[in-house]
Amino acid sequence: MNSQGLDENPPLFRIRDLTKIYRSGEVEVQALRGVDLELYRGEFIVLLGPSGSGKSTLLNILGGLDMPTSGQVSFRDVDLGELDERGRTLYRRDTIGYVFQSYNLISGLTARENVALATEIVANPLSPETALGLVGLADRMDHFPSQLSGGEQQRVSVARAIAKRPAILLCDEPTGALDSNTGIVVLEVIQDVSRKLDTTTVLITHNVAIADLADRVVSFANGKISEVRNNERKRSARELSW
Amino acid sequence: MNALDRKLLRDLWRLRGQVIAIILVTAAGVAAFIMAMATVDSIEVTRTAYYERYRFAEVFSALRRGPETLVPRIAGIPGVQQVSTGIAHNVILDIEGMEEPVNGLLVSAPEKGPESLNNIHIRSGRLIRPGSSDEVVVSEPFARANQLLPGASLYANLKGQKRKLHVVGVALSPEYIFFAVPGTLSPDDRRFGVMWMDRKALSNAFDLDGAFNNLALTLQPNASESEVIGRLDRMLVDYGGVGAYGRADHISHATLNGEITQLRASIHIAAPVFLGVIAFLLHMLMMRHIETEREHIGILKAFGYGDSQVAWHYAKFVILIVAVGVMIGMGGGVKLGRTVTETYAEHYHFPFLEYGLRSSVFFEAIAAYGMAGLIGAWGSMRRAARLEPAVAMRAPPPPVYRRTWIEGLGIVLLLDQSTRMILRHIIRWPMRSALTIFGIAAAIAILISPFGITGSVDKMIDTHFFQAERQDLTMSFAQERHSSAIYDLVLAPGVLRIEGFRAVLASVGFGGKSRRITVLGRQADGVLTRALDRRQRPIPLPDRGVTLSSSMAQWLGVSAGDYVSLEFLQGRRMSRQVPVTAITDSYIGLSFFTLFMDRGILNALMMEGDVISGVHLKIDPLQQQSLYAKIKEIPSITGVISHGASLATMRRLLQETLKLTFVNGMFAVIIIFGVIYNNARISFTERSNDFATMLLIGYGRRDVYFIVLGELTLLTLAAMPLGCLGGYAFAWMLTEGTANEVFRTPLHIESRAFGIAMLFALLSVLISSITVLMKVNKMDIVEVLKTRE
Repeated sequence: MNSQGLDENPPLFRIRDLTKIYRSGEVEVQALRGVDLELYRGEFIVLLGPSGSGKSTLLNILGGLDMPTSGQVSFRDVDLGELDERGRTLYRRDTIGYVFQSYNLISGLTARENVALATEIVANPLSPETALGLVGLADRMDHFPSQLSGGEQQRVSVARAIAKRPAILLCDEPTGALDSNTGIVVLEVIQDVSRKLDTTTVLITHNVAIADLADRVVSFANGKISEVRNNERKRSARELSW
Repeated sequence: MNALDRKLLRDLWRLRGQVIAIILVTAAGVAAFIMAMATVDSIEVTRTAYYERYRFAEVFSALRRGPETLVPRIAGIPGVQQVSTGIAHNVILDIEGMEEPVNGLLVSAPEKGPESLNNIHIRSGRLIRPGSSDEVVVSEPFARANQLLPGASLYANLKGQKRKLHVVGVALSPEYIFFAVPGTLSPDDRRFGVMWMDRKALSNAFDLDGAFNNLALTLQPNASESEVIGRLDRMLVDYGGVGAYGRADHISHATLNGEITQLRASIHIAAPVFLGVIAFLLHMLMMRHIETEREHIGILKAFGYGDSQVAWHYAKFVILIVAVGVMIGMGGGVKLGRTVTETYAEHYHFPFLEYGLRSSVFFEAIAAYGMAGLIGAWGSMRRAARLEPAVAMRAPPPPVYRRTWIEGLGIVLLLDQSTRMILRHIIRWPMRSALTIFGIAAAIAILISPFGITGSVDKMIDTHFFQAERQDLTMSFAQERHSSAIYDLVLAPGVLRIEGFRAVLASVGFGGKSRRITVLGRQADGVLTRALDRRQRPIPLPDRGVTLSSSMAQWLGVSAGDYVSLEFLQGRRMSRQVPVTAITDSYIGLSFFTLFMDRGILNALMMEGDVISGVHLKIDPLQQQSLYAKIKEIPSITGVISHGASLATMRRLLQETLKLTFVNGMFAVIIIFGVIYNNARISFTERSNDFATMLLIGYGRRDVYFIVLGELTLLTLAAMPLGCLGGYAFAWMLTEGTANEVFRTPLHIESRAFGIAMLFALLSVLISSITVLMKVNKMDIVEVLKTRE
């Protein structure tokens, strides 16, 4: 889906004047300084920007891992800032799929079981087998993380994230630890499943080339949005190279 | 301080929870060791000094009557250094305010002068004025129990004559450190006391003018004790000698020896457990520490630090922990040792206390714990030394998990992922899980074993007082009397049943071994005292031969059917071969020194008529008072044992043992906590990533608690049966293993002991878990997931 059709589509997330201040020891770090943004259903958004520009902070707030200092983030009219611990747990459980740079698989569980870990606690998930099939790992389901390559581990992590049919898929540098060929395979999977499941995907990257996957590219600098750009020609992951 | 050492201190601070736990366990182990060593050493040193200063004799003998003219002949026996004669007589005492008759041993006061033996130490008051006929010096324990301070008086039945005696002093003697009425299990200071009296007064009272009935010798260096005893016995035969014996058979000395042996044995059992636990805890901590320090190790090596420098850096980590633990332990041990030693000194009534902790004990502790620490940390130090810098700086690969045989059973398929995570983590690190289980089991075992000892004493009390010896009173006569004497007592107030017994001193021999014992002839149809078999069932008295205790049988090497030689030391001094017809189960010194047989057969063997040495009575408690009053008036009775009183004494002793149990219990709790807490913390650190992932996916913190608690609980549950078995084994070692030929307690552990130990283990799980759960609560998901360890 691209931005042309967004008018009849109410925003999934509404972000208003969002700020976040960290206290790190005796130093105050202003990670976000008044961010306004709206995210729509089915959209693929890439957040670009140098380290410390605030994009991960935004992602963590969207994912219910962090709380805003001021401003408002609402998801389907629910103010995330108002949620308590329990509320945020449920929000993460039912709404969010997360993919990190480090795959964060549980080494004591097989690929299938890692996915099942996520599906066991939600209503109406994909079966672990289906999810792993979607990421092309149907034949590696019973392998433990130590028996999988980095790219395969990241695909399991994608499968785990999308198996519960999340409304929103958050990916923080998903290819950061991978070589380019493997990275492209992982991006392909992310692009493919988010399209099939009509998931809103927010992906953080340093890599400008990856921005070509997006419907919209949001650039960050110094805790603020410096630019929002609609992609004229959205490319498929297969066409990328870096 | 260089940067690396500063890092070391910060690492210790960062891991302070676990470090403190290990320090505590080390300190507890060292303290227990030092405390026990200090106690044993001090008792031994003090005893030796006590014996030397007060000239405790080396060979002893009682006889009926020996003329003083015999003394030069005895002194002439090769190997004898010094001879000391005296008079000793059992009497019944009447103390004001005390309803029941009290047993007294009247002993002639040692002569003044440096050459006298078995001297007494005056604690208060003064010595007896020579020639006084009514002054006594009272042994301190007895004086304390009955408030007999100088100035007090009491009555004694001296050969039918009731005499008022005045207490002029309170004293202690190396001869009576531990002294119980013959036939009782433990000293009862209220009902048995030693009193010293002027020798002249005693010889007048007991018709021993110019004679003696008690003899003590010292030996020349290198003299053979057994040869001297042999010659002495032959010399004393005509004077009614009942067999001389050395210190080993001296009841006071032997009892003290038994306790010292037991203390030493318990040190040898407890110390390795502590050392093992320390090695294990350090192994766990260091393995984990090195794993998290991979990058640092890589950087250090990249900068040019050598392998040995890196290994030394981590060795210092261990050395510091152990050193602090050992130091605290030594301080605490010395303090505790002093307190415990003082308690013992008080218990033994030593006139002085020489705190005799050898400095080598400290070195032993340092060496042992140092070794344990290095053994525990060896593997991880080697790993640190061997890590290649390039490998070290890469993040570690995910730990390798595989399907295990357990999953082949299909059980795992039925489990949810959280339970699977618990199981796989346990199975993934089988060695560590096994060690954790072992550590918890060891702690449970340590906790159970002292309960085992009290349980055993309880069992012994029950067996002795309620199964084997069921009389209320045992009375002994000054001399054998015809069994018709029973009829004199049948009519005494409150007597419900009366059974006569004959006790004869004899030497029992088999296969070259021999021992001085008492042969106890019981009434054939007696029901008050019974021999019991291994299952506590009464054995009917066989109509021929003797029964003896299993410990005695073991010592002699006889089994039922064998013939043992009996050489009676009294009467016509007959020598007989008699068959062993049964072996009874018995636990204590008393039965070690006693053989049982039918009274009629015993008297026949001795070629004597139907005589008895005393009676067992079952009495009506309502008439006890009048019975006691009557007994005090009967001159022929020289000893009365109330079983109710003995039982109370035993129970009191048991209470004292329980105090020691409490100290041991505290140590065990520290171990349990140390093991479980460390496991919980390490397991948490290792898996904080997994837990953060779970939270990220949408699991609640409660689901994480489940895994943390689940794993610990599972390991603890697995440890429980093992710990119970171990506890049983420990208790067995402590009872059987520390039993010497004279002392033995049955192994009996109440189920309560197991329950309490396991409850403590679960409690430790709970407390350790809470600290970890607090960590889970504070866990920052983003932080954990972004910084791969």
